[in-house]
Amino acid sequence: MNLSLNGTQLGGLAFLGLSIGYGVEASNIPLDYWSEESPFNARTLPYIIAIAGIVCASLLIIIPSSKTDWASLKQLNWRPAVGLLILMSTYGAMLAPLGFIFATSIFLVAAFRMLGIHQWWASCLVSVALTLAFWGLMSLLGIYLAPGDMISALGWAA
Amino acid sequence: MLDGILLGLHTVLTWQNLLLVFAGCATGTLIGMLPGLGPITAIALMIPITYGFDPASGMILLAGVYYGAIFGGSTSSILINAPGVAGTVATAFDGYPLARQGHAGKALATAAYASFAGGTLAAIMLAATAPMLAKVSLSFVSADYFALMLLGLCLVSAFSSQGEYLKALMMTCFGLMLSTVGTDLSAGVQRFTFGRMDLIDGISFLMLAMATFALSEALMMVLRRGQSEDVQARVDGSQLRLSLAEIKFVAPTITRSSLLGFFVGVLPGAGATIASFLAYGVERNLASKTDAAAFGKGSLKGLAAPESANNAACTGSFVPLLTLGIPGSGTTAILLGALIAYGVQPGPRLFIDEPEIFWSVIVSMYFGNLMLLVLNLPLIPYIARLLMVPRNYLIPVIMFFSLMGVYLVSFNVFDIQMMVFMAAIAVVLRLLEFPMAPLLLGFILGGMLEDNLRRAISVSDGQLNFLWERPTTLAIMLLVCLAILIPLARALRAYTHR
Repeated sequence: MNLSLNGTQLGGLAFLGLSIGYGVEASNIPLDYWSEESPFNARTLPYIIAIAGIVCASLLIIIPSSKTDWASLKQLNWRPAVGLLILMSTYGAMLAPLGFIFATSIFLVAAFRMLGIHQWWASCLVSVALTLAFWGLMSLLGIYLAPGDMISALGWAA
Repeated sequence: MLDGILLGLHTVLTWQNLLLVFAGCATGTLIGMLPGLGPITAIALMIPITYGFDPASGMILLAGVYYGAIFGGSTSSILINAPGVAGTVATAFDGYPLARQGHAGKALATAAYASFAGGTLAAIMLAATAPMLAKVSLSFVSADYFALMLLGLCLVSAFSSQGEYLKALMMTCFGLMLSTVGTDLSAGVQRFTFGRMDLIDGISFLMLAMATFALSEALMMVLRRGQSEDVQARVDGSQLRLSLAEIKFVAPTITRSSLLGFFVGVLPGAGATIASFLAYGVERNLASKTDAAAFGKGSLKGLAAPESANNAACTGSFVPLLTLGIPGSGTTAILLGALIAYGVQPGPRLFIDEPEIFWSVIVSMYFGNLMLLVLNLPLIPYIARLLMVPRNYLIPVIMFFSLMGVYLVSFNVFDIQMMVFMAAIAVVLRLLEFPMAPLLLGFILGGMLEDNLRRAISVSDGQLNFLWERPTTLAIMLLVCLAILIPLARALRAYTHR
């Protein structure tokens, strides 16, 4: 008997865990006395979804529909993809302290570099031009994009 | 009715209002084309500008923006698989594969013609049947809406490829789970927020749509670099034409989908999203075996169906808005707010008290569709050049627009972090061949499903007899049972035959 799981079954297993956790968490939704007596309260739909999720995930584990080609997954370009995920997360964290213009320009230059564009002048030109164009368009539409805590602290912006 | 149309023509056919229709369509197309910026954002941005106009002109401009943004969203769905709004998600199913096969021009032209036909047919139907349709939608009760939404969720089998029904159902459940995050407005209690203030208002639809489509698509491009060819983006004038055979091939689909889209759009809460998914599902089921196999791989029918349906539904969604004062979608909710801001009270009396507003909006819809065709078709070769930008430049730009599209709505960096997290999950799920569209549909319908279920259960004193008491509800529930059991039986049969 082959006990190895394919991708569908792994997904089903993860979703089974998620559905059980969701159902348990649903039972912790606070209810007042009136709501507890009510035929429909804040827990009702989550319970229904949790049960539906458990049924679906169980069926998916029992009758997996397709096989996963693990070898082809290993050949994907994981390094730049993971790098970009980290970069986007860092961009989000840097948006407030660095401000829109600096944070965005740096994000774009770094992303271009990660994807193999090594001409500094080209990546810098595209990044700064795009950032300033977007910032200008937003300013025209009356949308304020903050210059950043650091810039404000240095007194460079009004 | 003829008097009404003449009144509408009289209002719209002034150079100022025609200019407003044109400006609305152009602005809407440009904004809607940017991944992450959909009609809601476009209309919200334009509302302050309309405060200086009379209500009819204001609504004419906003209706143009609405149409333009929907078409712009379709354009980005086709070219870069980044639907800015839920209504154009289904457009990407076949539009994007067509673009990848080098038929970007044909895909965009089909979308333009289908949108025009859908919008025009719906505008005619709206003018002809608005009072009667208002009565029909008035007769729907919570139980019917609940059943209808359940049907929409169960039809996920239409979006999943052969044998992947359970995966699609699982993703629907996942979407429903995500929709319950935040404050339960009826009881005022927090659910699944884990004490985080950022989650009190729930998960943003735009964030989820951008994470699961635009951002995950950009990441998939990175993962598969070298495995796929760049898209042939050069579109010349000849590619924008459809042959007579192609027109004959898609004409029945457009007619059926327009009718379906219009009637679904009339139902408050249903709107362009359900209409486009339903039309896609219906056409796939009606298609011959060979045609059905092409769905999801670049079928013209698969593209024309959601395009005509979502445009027709946009027109249909104005019926409950203008006649009942009930918004049929998030976008019409914003339009409702605009009407109230103009000092106009939408509802049954709008016909009587402000007929020029009602009829000018209807007539401007037709003109808006005409302008879109005139405006968009000649621009298609230029729009398609977006794809000629090298992937290494395009990917970070898509990521930037996706992140900004979400950030500009909330100005909360938590949404960016959440989006990156969701995109990572979406990539893993996509690699394991789990479909994303059912997740989004479950998420969109979750809130409305709960509201209607709550009302239906309250009305029936906690009993479940509301599911079969009314013939309408019973008929829809029977369809729900069929939509669950038939694909499930197929999946089980396929498993036992293996």
